Amino acid sequence: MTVDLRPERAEPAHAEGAAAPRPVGPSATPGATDERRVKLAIRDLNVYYGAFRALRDITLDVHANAVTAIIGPSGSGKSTLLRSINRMTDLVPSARATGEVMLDGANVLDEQVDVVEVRRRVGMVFQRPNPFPKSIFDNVAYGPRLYGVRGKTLDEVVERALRASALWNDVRDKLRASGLALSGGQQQRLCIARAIAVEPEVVLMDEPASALDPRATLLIEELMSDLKTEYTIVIVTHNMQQAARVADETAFLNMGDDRAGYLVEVGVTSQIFTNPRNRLTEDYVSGRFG
Amino acid sequence: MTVAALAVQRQRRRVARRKLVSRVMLALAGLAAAIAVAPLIWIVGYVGLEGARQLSPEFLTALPTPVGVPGGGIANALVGSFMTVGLGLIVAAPVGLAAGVYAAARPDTRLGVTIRFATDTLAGVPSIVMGIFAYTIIVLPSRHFSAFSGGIVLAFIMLPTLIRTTEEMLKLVPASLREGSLALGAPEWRTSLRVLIPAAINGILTGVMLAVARGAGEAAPMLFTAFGNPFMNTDLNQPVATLPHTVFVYAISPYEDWRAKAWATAFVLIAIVLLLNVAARWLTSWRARRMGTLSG
Repeated sequence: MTVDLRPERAEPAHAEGAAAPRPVGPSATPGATDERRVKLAIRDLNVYYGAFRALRDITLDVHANAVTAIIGPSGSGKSTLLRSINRMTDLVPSARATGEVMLDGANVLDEQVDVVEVRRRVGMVFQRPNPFPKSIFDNVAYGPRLYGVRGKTLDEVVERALRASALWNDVRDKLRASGLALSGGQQQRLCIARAIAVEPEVVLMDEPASALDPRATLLIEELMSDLKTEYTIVIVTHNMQQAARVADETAFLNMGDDRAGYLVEVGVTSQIFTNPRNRLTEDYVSGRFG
Repeated sequence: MTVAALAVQRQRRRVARRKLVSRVMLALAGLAAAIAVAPLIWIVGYVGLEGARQLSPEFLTALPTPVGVPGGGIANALVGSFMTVGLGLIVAAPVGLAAGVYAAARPDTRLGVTIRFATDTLAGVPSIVMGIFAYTIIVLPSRHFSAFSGGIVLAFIMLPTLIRTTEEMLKLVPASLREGSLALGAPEWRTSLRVLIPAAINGILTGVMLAVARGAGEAAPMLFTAFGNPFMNTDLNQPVATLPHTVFVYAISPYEDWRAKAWATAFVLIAIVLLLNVAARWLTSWRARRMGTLSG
C-alpha cells in the first residue's frame, strides 16, 4: 500500500504556513506508520573542523519519500549535517566525522565507500543556483554523462529530469541556450533537474530558495512536494514558514555552549510547530530567538 | 551672530573644504592615469608613423636586400618568428596549463607551493640568461644555432605567464561550480576539465595571448639561439631570423635605409601582437556571450 502524502497543488492551506500545518506523518495518518521506511539513519554523528567540533552526537532518522527539514539558528551546523550525508565535508581538508550515516544500512562515512557512488545516490542542490556555464542541455546531461549515458537515452533522461523539475515547458525550445540566461528561479530548477538526472535516491537541498523571490520560492516548494513521491528530500532552511509548508518532519538544531551544533528535537512538522516538546524549540519556532 | 549660526557657517566651510580636496585628489589621480597611458600611445604612435612610411605589401613578402639596394622585406623574419613562437607555445602551453590547473586545485600541497615559487623565480630570470642557458644545453651540443633552440628558449620564457594566469583565472571561478560538479559524483580531473577550465577559458586564453606577445617580442635570447638568417629558412635545425632580432640588427646598423626598416619591422611586430590580441578577445567574447563564461 502506498500512501500519497502529497497535498493538492491548488490547496491553499499549505501556503498559510505555521498557522495551519498539514496533517501529515504518523500521528495524523495512522495508516501510514508502517510505510515509513528509514532511508537515512544518522547515529552519533560528530563532525570536527580541525579541533573545533561542529556537530555533537547527532542521531536522526530520515524517512523515505518524505521531506525532512533541518532548521536552527546560524552556526548550529545545519549545512554541516547536510554535507556529511553526501560526504561534501571531504572538501574541507581539516574536516573529520565520527559516527554513522547509514544509507539503506550502509555507512557512507566508511573509508571503503566510494564517494562517487555516494554522491550519485545522494544528490545536492545548493543555496545559490550554480548552473555550469554551459547550455541547458549540457547542464542536465553533465551527471548522466559521467555514468556513461549517451545518445538517444541521454536526450530522454534530460527531458525527463527537466519535466520532473517543472522546467521543460520553459526551456524545450532553447536547450542549447546558456543555463546562465535563465532567471534565478529557473536556474535553481535547472540545478534540481541536474541533480535528479542521475536518479539519486536522496536529494539534499541547502536553503534552495533563500536567493529567490517569493514566486520562484513557491515553485520550488511545490516541486519538493512533487519530488518526494520518488525521492527522499532533506532541506536546510532558515525560513520556518517554509519548513512548515513543505516538510513532513522537522529537525531542530541548536548551537551549544561549546559552539557545537546538537539536535534539540525532531518530529512531525505539525508537532514541532504547534506542540514542541522542548522549550528551546518553542522559543525558536515562535521567533523568540535565532 | 548666534552660536547656532556660527556652527552652521563652520559646517559649510568644512564641506566646501572637503569638496575642494576631493576635486584636487581626483584631478591628481586623473593626471597620473594620463601619464601612465601616455607612453603607450606615444610608442605605438611613433612606431606607427615611422614604420608606416616604409610599409608596403612587398615588405611582408620579400627577403632582405643588402645595404643600398632598394626594396626588400622581412618575409624570413615573419616565418622565423612564427616558427619559434609556435614551437615555444606548443611546448609550453600543455605544461603551463597543466601546472596552472594543479596549482589552482592543490594550492596548499608541497607541489602546489613549489610550482608557485618556481614560477615566480622563473619569471624573474632575465631573458638573456635564458638565452645563454639554451645556448649551453642545445646550441653547443648540436654545434649549430637553430630555430629549435629559439623555440625552446621561448617556451621557458612563456611558461611562467601561462602557469600564473591559468592558476589565477581558475581561482576566480566560483567555488560553487566546483562543488556542484563534485556533488554529482564527478571526479576532480573531470571537474577541472569540463567545468572549471571552460568557465575560465577567457582568462586562460588571455594568458596564452600575453605569453605569445611576450615570446614574440624577445630579441636577447635569439642572439644565442635562433641567431638570425638573411635567407628564408623553414628548417627547425637551421638558424632563422625573427622579428625582434631583425629590429635589433637593423636598428644598430649605421645605414639609414636599414634603420628605417627597423621601424617598419617594429611596426609589423606590434601590429601582429595587437591583432592576435583583438582576435582572441573577439573569439572569447563571442563564446562568453553564448555560454556566459567569466570575462578575463
